[in-house]
Amino acid sequence: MRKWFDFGIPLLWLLTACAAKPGIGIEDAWVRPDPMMENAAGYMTIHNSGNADDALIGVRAEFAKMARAHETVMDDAMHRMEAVPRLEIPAGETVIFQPQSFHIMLMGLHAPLEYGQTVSLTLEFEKSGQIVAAAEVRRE
Amino acid sequence: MMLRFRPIVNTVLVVLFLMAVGAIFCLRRPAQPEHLDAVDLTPSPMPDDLFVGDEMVPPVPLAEFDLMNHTGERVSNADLHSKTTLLSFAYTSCPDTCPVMFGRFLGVQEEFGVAIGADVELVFITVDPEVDTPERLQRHAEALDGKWYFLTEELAVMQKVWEDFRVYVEKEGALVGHSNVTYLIDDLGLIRVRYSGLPPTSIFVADLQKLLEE
Repeated sequence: MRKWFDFGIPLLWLLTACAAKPGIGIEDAWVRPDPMMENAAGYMTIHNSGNADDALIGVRAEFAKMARAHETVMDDAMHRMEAVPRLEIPAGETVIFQPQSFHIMLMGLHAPLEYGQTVSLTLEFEKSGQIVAAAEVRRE
Repeated sequence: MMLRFRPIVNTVLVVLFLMAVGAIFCLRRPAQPEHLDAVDLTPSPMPDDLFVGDEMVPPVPLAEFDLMNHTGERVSNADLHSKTTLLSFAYTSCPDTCPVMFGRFLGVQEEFGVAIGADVELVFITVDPEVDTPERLQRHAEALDGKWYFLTEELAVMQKVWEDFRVYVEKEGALVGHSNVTYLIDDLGLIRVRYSGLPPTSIFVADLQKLLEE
């Protein structure tokens, strides 16, 4: 019993200290509106530098009527967009949102955006909760 | 006396050992992702007689069409004779891929300058005619300063055009899935080169120059 105490306490302390958790970071977020400022697409790089998986489960943008993660799928030169309600961000990995790939679909802009301005994209993760990304409005 | 302190010594030793192991495990962070290096998409030097895109052998005559331009004028395949034409398919409310192609055509426009509209013609055909009215296409061209034809017509007419150009279109709500194909057409009205996807501007420019020098 004494041995359990001797070895168990430090082990428990160590396991608690090492509890697995994700570490979500967002870099280089940007938004490209269409020329008529009706819709836009958002792009970014999402890192998970933690030791547990996480998943993107929702997106919100105050400046658009609808925001949703999508993926452009290319099938024999046919491009179509598919909604991505849940996107796994595995531990230690990076998911890049870029043109012709994953993107945040921003439909129905409430007002025209200005190139160079910064807008907020709120990303909802399964474990990490909400993270707000500052996205620059760019032409390309 | 020593036996009395043995549990404490054991605990200290275990803690020190596990802290060392734990430090290695917990503090180990996955390597930060390296930023993607810019991919060099500049076409490799090609033999003079080869195009970078997929050459049509033999060349295919341009299908007949008669559509409405964004300025309200009729434009037919006959209007493209005696010009070298880059023709692609897009729609104005497309949020992800079409803006890339508009950017590529703007790059071609910048490269060829005054030749656009004279020796070289840039043409977009809509894949969303129910939304892309001539007025809307006009606003779109003005917003981008695009010096191209952006053609539309009623849905039934467009369906025939898409079929002739082997373009598949699937409308889902406000979004349109479609083939991303672009054609390079010579001044005799023959389709000479076909491109899939979104090739970089440099490839269009290289092939256009090659065709103009023939």
